[in-house]
Amino acid sequence: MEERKINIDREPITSAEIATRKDFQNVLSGAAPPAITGGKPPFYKTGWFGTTVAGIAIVVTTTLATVMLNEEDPSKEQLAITNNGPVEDPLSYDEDTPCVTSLLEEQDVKYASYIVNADEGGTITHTTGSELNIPQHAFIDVNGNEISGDVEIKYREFHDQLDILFSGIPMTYDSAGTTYNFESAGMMEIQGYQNGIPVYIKPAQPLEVSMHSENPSPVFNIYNLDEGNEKWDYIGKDEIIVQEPEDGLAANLTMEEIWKKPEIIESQNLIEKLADETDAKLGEHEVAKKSVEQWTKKEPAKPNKFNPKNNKFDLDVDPKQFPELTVYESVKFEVPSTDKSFTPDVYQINWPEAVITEKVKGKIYNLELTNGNDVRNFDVYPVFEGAGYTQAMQVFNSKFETYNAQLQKRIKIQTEKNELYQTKLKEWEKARAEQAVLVAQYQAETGFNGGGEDGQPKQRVSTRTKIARVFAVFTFGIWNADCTIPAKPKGQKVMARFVDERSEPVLLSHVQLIERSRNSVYNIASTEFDKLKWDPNEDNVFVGVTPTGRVGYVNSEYIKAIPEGEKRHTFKLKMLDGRRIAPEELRRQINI
Amino acid sequence: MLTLNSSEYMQTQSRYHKTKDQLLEENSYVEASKTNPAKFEYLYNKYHEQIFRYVHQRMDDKDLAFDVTSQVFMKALTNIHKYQFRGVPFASWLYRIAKSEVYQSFKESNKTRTVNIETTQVYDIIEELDEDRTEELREQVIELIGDLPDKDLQLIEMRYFEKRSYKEIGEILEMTENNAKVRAYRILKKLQKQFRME
Repeated sequence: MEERKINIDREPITSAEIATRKDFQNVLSGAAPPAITGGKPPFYKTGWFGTTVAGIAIVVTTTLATVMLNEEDPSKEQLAITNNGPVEDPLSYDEDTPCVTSLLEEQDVKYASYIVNADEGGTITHTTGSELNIPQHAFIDVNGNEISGDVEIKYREFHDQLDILFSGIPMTYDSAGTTYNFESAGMMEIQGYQNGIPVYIKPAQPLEVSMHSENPSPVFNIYNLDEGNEKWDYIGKDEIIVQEPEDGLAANLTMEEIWKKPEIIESQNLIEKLADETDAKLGEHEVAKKSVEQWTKKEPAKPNKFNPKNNKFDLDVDPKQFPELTVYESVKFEVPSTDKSFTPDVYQINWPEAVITEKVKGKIYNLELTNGNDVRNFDVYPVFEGAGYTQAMQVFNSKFETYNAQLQKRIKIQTEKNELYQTKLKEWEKARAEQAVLVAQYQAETGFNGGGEDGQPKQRVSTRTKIARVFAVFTFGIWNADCTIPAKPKGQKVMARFVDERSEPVLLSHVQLIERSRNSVYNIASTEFDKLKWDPNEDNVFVGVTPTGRVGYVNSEYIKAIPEGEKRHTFKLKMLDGRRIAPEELRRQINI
Repeated sequence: MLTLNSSEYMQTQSRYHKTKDQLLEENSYVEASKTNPAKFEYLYNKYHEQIFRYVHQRMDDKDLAFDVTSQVFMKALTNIHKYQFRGVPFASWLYRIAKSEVYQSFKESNKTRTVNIETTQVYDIIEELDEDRTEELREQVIELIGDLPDKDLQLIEMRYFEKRSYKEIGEILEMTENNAKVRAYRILKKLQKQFRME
């Protein structure tokens, strides 16, 4: 085993630093002259080289100037979109825009309406299983007078990224001058009305909400949105209740335990057996392939007829050294007419030494003629004339027949071996796919979601496990179980434009970035489109909603295909009619 | 136990793959470079960073990596008349030259082959193996990767550290895409067996 050094998390080198070390002139001057210039002075000493370098300098200067002149101000680019007649209506900015403005009402989560008697209180069970416990005499009017009689409670929850996105609820949080984004483990909005007039919660009688959640992590805190001041207020910790399914089967399985399930072990054994067999078949195929390749090298060379216009040499060749030539009679060696280095004076000189070496067996040979310090090299190929050619063709035909029969036999074997290998490979892939389904079933059952950050395993949550986050609600409004994440993703950055499938500009005031691994949405304003960022290691989706209700998006595959280092990118959005499409279908299309 | 499920969806960060038109356009620069070496500048600019990163991944010394990168392009330009278009990106040829130059530089400079690993990449492998992410396992995997035979190490480096697709790996290592896939599977399986034994 060779000695190796292992570096962990070495400091990365930036593209800018690598670019500073580019030096094409060094490559040009360091490269040996190409073979085509053999015998001529080095190309960098030739006239054309100077001209070319000068040409390059001019081109580079011109290109730089062009780039600089075309360097658009991003705001101009946005303006240009407007002037080009965007397909959407121009944006209008309203200074009185409320803190929460739904991006698209048709896709916004609808309120459920419940009636509770304010004097008696009660428990409301929402469709998600969340419970709202309302004490007696909990409501007051705007003047602080206790409310009596029926009160309408409007309630809705936001659980996935599109719920958050379309709600228009801001997900940024300022703490000690630093802005963060929120990742949510569940968010809800609750409002109270009597006869259409808002009511309020009596400070001493908070409601208790047991909100359904899909994340049992204790890192989330409870926040309440202060819509007047457009900021989130930190409230405190919630109580997390995790209720396992009564049978307790899959919910408690770890990944290791899943792998110990008999059917998974059986599938793994099959995969390993098939992998061994695939390997073996691959090996057999490689051998058969090599056999064909080796044999094709033995293809007999078709004799060439002597061309009297070309230069030739009459040479005696050693039959031991070149058996492929000595089966023929009257073989001569012809110099290709394209060889300009051959001059007739070669025939005038007495060459005491002539060495012929094989370049391509039976086809091309190198002839080296030496007379003292005068050494000449030519590519030559064997030719025949007259009866010699007829005899050579007869020998060739006979040899080729034998060669071809053997070649066909070997090709047939190779084809058969390849088919066996492909069949085995398909079996292996099928077995793996079937195992993946089995494992996925268990994972779905256990809600297993892989490893978390810092190498710590995330908690597993069964889809059958009920999680509730319990907290006191002392004011109507929006409540969120959140943890903070960086305000903006880091990584790839481009100057962005957005067009639809017909390459028509799409005017967006914002785009939203969803990282599938987080229940969060980054809201990016058009002023930031000149440096649109995302983390290339995440599974990202960009979504934008136009003023006319069209929803445009690009998926993860599209984003991953954007070359690293690309400076500008025109995002070709897939457009959906957000006002007509069903929310489930929208989720299916965007794959959320 | 081992599955390669997630890897099948792993997206390469490489800029290697190209459409047929892009390949033909690229080859037009190769052909032009055969008679006019200045035309090679386009290919140099296009692949300099990729080749440097490939070389540097296998080396400790940054300056040496830059020198080797220059050497790769010099060799490529010197031998460009031998290059034959086979419908794959020109980069695959450059990578093969780079591989040879890296080993040549180790011989000449008496330097040691380096394996540069990022923690997140090790966790990718651990996830691929459906194992829990633990510090202990991370260290074990790093140690085992460092001990892999060179041909296995190369494949792991290309797949998990450089995020190349199996198609690209196949083209660089001159094997079929499926063969690269099967080999990666076997290497991971071997790693898993080893760390379970330890």
